[in-house]
Amino acid sequence: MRASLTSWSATGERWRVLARLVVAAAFLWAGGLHVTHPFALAQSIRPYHLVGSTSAVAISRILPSLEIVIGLALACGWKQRGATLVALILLAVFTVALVQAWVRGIDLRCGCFTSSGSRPLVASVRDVLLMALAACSNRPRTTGSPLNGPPPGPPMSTDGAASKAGAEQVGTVAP
Amino acid sequence: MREARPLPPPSSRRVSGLVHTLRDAAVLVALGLLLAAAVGMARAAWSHLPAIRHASGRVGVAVPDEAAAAIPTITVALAEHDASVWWIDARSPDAFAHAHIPGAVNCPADLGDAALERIVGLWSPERLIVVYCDSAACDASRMLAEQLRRDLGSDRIRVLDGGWEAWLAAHPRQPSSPGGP
Repeated sequence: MRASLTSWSATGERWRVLARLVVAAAFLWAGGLHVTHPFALAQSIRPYHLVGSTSAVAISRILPSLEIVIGLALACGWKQRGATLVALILLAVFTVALVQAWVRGIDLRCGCFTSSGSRPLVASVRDVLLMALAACSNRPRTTGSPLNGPPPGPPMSTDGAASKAGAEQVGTVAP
Repeated sequence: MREARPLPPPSSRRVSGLVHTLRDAAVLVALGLLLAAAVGMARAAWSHLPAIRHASGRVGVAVPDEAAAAIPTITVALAEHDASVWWIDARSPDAFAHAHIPGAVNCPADLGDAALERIVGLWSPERLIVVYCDSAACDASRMLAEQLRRDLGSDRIRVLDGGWEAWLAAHPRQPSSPGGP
């Protein structure tokens, strides 16, 4: 029974890592494309009719770099919860922009990954899926993993003292 | 042997975890802004370091010969038959103010990102950009066209064959437009 639970948890952990890597790849891909053609991104932002040209240019200068940083952080598992939070916020903003364009009947291409891009509805569905993957990749830990740190429980050192991380999870902290 | 003490209540731990997450997010956003600033400075350096002065006295940006040669040209006659043409004048503001092709926008090549911002605010992807400078001998139009193709990611960019001199030759009696956008 214990072996099957461990196997189930390990499988879940693998799926979470995979989900995180998929979101990371999407952000790195988009950021890498946009950082080389920032003004193409500005051009794709303008048809949304949400910001002016000056703001579109400013966004096109900042967004690709932010996407790259978030993608790298997710890929490496560094500051994972913070990276997931920023990724979720960005994806939510993208989705709202796409849905409002679709509702208003604006004929545009999303410009998310290429200059041609997808239709707003398709792109918003893709963004929702990425949001789901990002959310799933960061569920509370149940087992240890090289990327997520030690498993919960009382990790005991050889001299019997609990580590700070383990102690927090079992109800005690080192002074 | 350290003495263990009780863990704070779950609500306190949740707040602590949220603060930790927000702090991490702020760090990542700050790193993103730093990277954006670095990329912007690198772009500015790329645009301005290889500045050269042309025989006409204009300042432009040096690009490799093979890259410049890859920009397609278009004749005055062909350009005028295309209703989607958008003229971009790569000459100096003084020359533009004196005379220019009707409807053209002045974007001197040495303005760098400022010129591009102006173009981004006015251009739509379906329009064919035709860049021109003084004559076939000047390089400013090719340099600006190369920069536009790289930064806009568009292939709908041409260089006017013969430049402003060719347009004047094709319209010997038509007065050119002073002023403009």
